[in-house]
Amino acid sequence: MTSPSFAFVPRNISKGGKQQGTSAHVPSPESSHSLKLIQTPAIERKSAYPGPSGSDKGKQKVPEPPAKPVYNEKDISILVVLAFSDYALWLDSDLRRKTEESFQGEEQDAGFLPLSYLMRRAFGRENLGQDYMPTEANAVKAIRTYASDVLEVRMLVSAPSASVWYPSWKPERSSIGGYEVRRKDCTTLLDNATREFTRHQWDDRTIYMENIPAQYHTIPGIIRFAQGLLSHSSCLVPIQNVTLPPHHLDKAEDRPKCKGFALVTLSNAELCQVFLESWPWTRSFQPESDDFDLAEGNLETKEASKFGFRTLPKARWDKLNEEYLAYRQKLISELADANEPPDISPDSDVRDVVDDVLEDTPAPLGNATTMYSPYPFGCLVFARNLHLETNKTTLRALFATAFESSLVDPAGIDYVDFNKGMDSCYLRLASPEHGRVLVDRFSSHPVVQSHGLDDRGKTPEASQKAIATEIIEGKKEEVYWEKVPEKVRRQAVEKAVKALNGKQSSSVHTAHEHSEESRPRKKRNRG
Amino acid sequence: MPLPVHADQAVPVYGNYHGYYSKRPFIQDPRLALLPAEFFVGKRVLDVGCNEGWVTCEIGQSRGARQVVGVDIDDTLIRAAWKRRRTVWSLQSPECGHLREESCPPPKRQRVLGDAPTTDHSAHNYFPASCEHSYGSLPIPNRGCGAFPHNVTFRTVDWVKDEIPDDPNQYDIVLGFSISKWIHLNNKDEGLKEFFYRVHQCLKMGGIFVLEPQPWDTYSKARRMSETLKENAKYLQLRPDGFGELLQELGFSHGQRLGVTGKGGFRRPVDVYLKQR
Repeated sequence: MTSPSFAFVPRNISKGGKQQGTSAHVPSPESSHSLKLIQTPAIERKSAYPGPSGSDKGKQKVPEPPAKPVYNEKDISILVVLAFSDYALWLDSDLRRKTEESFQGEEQDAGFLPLSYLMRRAFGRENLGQDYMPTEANAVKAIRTYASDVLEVRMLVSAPSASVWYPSWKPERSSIGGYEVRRKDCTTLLDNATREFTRHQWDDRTIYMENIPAQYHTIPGIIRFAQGLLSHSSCLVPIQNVTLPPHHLDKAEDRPKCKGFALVTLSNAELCQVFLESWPWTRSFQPESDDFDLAEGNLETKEASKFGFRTLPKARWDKLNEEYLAYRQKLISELADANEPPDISPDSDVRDVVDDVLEDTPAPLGNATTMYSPYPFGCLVFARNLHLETNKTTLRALFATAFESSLVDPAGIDYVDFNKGMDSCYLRLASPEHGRVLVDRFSSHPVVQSHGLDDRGKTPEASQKAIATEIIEGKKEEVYWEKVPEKVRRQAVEKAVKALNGKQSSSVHTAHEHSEESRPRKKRNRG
Repeated sequence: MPLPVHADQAVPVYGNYHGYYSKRPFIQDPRLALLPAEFFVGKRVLDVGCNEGWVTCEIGQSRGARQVVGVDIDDTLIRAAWKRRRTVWSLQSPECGHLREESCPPPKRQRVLGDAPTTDHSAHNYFPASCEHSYGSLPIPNRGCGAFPHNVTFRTVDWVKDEIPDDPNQYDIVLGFSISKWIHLNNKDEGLKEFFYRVHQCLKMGGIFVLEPQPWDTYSKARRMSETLKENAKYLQLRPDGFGELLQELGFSHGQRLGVTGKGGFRRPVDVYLKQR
């Protein structure tokens, strides 16, 4: 593979002196879904659907001041490399697809992705505000300084003609003068064994770390710390992923805060062994000696000793989680049986526990949404190949066209989960039937958006990719809804149940009409 | 006067640092490690200026104390101490809780200066910390025995001035870890003397006062915290070196220095005083 002959763009083509910034994108559930490791352990847990109920008002965790780290260059490079890791390619179907597509174009373009795209993935889940988001220029400098053995950067000099990145419309103006990045090992990228990995294989390479020294309590910090402990390793990208377990009171959009522990996925089992053997889960405590500074090892090693750093294979961690939950349940039952008030203390968590038990919803059985369902089943659709300049209003109208020639309520789209600049979105539908009607319609009548405000769609040309829709079910569906705020989720469930009930009887509407007679009646079907 | 919940003090003039323990490594308190294994077994203990209760909980969980009461002037810290107690419970192995149903937990043999048997550590840090974080604390059952965590309680009080209900029962041990400087600066010589007097009063005969006083040269930084402290500092005539003599006058034995712990500016001696009369 020949590297591009141009690495720098003459002034008259690039866009003036101003840096090409990336806009801060609030991560859509899609991107955070694809990046975040499924954070619930691989067990059925009854309290899998977190979130306080309305009665928990007094028990919310103390709001913390938003900690927005400003990343230094090393950390920026770490996060970009992480966003393009083998694990990221495995987990994120959008990233994988776009990477594969980049090999289908010109040879010189093979493997290149826009830096802006990678940065959205790298920093999206960090929930940074506009002020804190690094610019592309920052990232390029960071990569060139710290990750040049892993990533290659080039500047985009002209509008790509037939690039797969810009299928059906004129190229993004902002991308001219922007940068593109590819992995230096891109020739072997697609054949890499990790492509075919199962979740289990990644889990075998994942360890739980605890008592991470206080100064490393960020994702890049953890990676720096871990890399410091692996100083003898020659592996280029030893850390493939870091997941911070969420707090039980976290809302969907909350960024999990590092409390000194994390799940870290490594490139191979040997690296895991290094940690597990050097920093075992149980070891006798050696009190800090005065010779601390003379002790062997680098800074990370010393700090790790000082803080009692320890590690556990993920499989074992999963087992302990199971044990914890079972034990917790046992204690709750014990309390309930004893029928006594719990230990006398301003111990609000105990009441939380009891409330949680009452709130517990059974695992979904069958597909019918009931008032006890954790989320509305079958009401989630994923759509892609949208126009990059489109917006929510346009999309809502566009997808609602699916209901025009059908018998369902035209107001079938509950919510368009979309972020500007993305070419995909999730749709929350009012009922599973709406989902089916929508997907059927868009597959039998494929369309593209001719421009950002096209809310009717037109027949795609040969080179154009039609808008693709699919119903999301199973684990993916569960994971999506887990990130939705509890209140919103409940409303969606209620709506779906009402829709089901509405079909069976009109009693709901009768009551509604009686109580609001003065209001004009809502017509149910328009034909 | 104890501090209200939302005091939101920017300056910890009582030494009431928030997040004191979160940023520091804490595996085992080095001051406790200076005390022999049997020291706390079966005893009633008062921990004055307990902050978020990390040491208090260690005594209750790992040192076999019958009862440990932690007091602090700052209510936010006391709330955090109750939370810490729940966290320590949530890390503890289920077997640990069951084994100790009938009687007071016998201490695991511990040699001074560490070398704690791995079983103790592993039973007390059995569950990953992420469990409580992700699923909530473990409920504390009322098993009717005095095992941890039932043997640990906390109260918000300015213990220099006010009593708590446990005081008249008298303690076997009173701990004053890194507290004397703050009592001294906030209440001057009279206040410090009053504190020592109260310690003496609420200790049983033969009871022990464990004092970790901050050295005099560390007062200068602390007194710059507020105008009050700065003003008070002007009147201080007592010095940490003279505490031993004061205590002897009150009825304590000559102080026995167990050791010195801490690094740099935190280097402090740990002295024990026996109530003889």
